[in-house]
Parts: sequence; C-alpha cells; structure tokens
Amino acid sequence: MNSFLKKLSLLAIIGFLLHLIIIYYTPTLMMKYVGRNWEEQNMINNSFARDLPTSDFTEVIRPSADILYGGCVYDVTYFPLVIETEVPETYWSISFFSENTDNFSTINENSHNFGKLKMYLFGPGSTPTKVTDGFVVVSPSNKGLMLMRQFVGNGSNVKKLNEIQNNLNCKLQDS
Amino acid sequence: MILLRRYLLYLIAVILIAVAFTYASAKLYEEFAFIKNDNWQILPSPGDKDRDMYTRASVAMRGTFALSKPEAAYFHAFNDIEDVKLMGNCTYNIIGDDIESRWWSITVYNEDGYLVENDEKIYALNSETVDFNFEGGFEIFLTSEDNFISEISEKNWIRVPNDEHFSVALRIYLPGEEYFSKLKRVDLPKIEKLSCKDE
Repeated sequence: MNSFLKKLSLLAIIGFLLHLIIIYYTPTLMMKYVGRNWEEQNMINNSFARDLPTSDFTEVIRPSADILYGGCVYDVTYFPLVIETEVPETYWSISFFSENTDNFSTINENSHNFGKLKMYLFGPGSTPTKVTDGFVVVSPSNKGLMLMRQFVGNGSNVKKLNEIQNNLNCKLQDS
Repeated sequence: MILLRRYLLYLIAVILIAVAFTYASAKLYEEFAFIKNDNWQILPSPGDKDRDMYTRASVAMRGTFALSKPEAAYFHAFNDIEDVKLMGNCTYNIIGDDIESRWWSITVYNEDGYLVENDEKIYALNSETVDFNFEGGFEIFLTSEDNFISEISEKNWIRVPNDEHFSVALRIYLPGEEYFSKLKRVDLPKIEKLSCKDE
C-alpha cells in the first residue's frame, strides 16, 4: 500500500471514530441544550410546572398538546431526591430520564392508582434498603430529568390537574 | 508553517469524513430503523434504556424525552396514503377506528416539529375530544382553508400550516405489551388527500 492510501485509510478511521463520538454524545448534548436555562431558573432539585403547550412552545420538539407536564430536574450526586405528589384520576405517568435521555424508569397508574405517591430517587450504584414508605428509583446518572405527564382529555379536569401539578414536591432528602 | 498547514488539512479532512459518516448514517437510519405501517412510521423502542446509540441520538434530535414501551407508541406520518409529502395547501382526511388503549391522540406539527399556530388553539384531537361516528370510527379533516373549516366546523378538524410541509403524530398510551410485537400489522388511521388549493 502506498503512503497516500495509508494516510487516507488512517484519516477515514479517525473520521469514523469521530463520527461515533458525535453520535454517542448527541443525546447528552441535546439534554444540555434543552436544559441550558434550568440552573438560572432554579429548577435543579425543585419542581416545575408547564402550561399546556401551544404553538409558542419551543422548549422541546413535538410536544404533546394533550398532556400537562410537570417534573423536576435532578442532581442526586450527594443526596437522594424525595418526590411527592397526588395522582389524578386520569392517565398519568412519572418517567425518569438519565443524562443521556434514556427513559430508565416509569411509574404509572398500573403501579399506584390512588391518592398520594412518594418516590425516592438515588444516584448510580446505590443499593437503598431502608425505604418502606415509597417507590425506590435508582438513576444510572447523577443528573437527569423527571417528567410527570397528566392527560387532559377533554379539558374538564384541567383545574384539578393544575392543582396536582403545582403541588408536586421535589426536595433533596437532607435539605 | 508548512507542517502546521498540513495538519490543519488533515483535521479538516477528518471532520469532513466524520460529517459524511454522520449524514450517511442518518439517511440509512431513516431507511432501516423505522417500522413502516402504511403511511405511518414508528421506532419500536424510542425511549428504552437498552436502545442502540443511533436510536438514542435520533430520538434526542426528534423528540428528546420519549417514553419506553409499553408505556406509549409514537407513530409519525410525513406522507399521505399515496406516499406523497403532506402539504399545507392541501386538505386531507384521517379515517380510522377507535384504538384500544388507555387513550390516544392525533397532533399536527409544522415543518420544524412545533405545534401549528392557529386562533382556535386546536392542536390535536384525542380519544376524548374526537367525535366518533355511529360505527365507532372517526374522520378528522386536516386543512388550512378557512371556508372549508366554516363548512365542517361541527366535525373533527385540525388546522395545518399554510403552504408548508407538515407531519402528523399518533400517540397511543398503554396499548398493551403485545401491541409492540405487531407494529407492522396493527390497524392505523388512513390519511388521504381530498384536494389542493392549486388544483
């Protein structure tokens, strides 16, 4: 093989490796892009609530217009996060997304269908054993996002859903 | 200086090769990763934690926080039943039967993937807001024509962006675990073109 072909092959291999790195880190970069204002909006380990999406909503692509979103951005590097909420009579789910946007856990009406719900979110590698009053979720990354989805249906229950959304509570266990 | 220029050329070449691989993989991914069912396409495991890195990257770019199965199935249509791109200057109908699930919805997005601006604030119809016919099915009109909307105002309709391509999302929540093993064969609504402004 002459030196030109050798160089070309080497460049192609390095280019391919760079491509793999781009693909691998795209979700994490998207998460950082979506969350670029989370810190200054004081959303880390605090709950947030969104109005029903309209055409002005550009925070995420393809939002669902039938879902009232709430949730909290988490950082469980030092302490677990305690999440408490009431659950509505309509469809709801609480889903957890790691730093690379994987939906690693979802709790919905099939696992808890009435009243108050309490969850403990731990960081990677944790093996919690002492929790008896709620669901335990272990995140594969220290940082991520929890999203609560409530189906608004025909809109007749929006007031109640808003109330639930506004009462969603996320706080670090030690704070 | 010559050496520096040479390494700069190598760097540019590597970046161009990486961009070419990424572009080609995005094109190939669209061709092979999606399950196609008539005019709808779906990624079988958009939010799953064991998805491959190409799916993860694709979903991050398209929807960011997709749920894993069996929580929800997300179908998208960019074309009508004749495989022609959905266009805002045409009027379409979506005809289908009720879908067995906890709930479902049909939403229209503009070319950029955002909800379509409209005075009526109707962005989607769901299993609770759609009017079903006597047979238990439904017909939804997609149009940007004000006159047409006045004519069919009592029926199901969603406004689409004028003179712009658009897409339709069909979200199905809790359809049951086995639904995901037959995504290619499940009955889905059909999107048919009725007319276009310039025809």
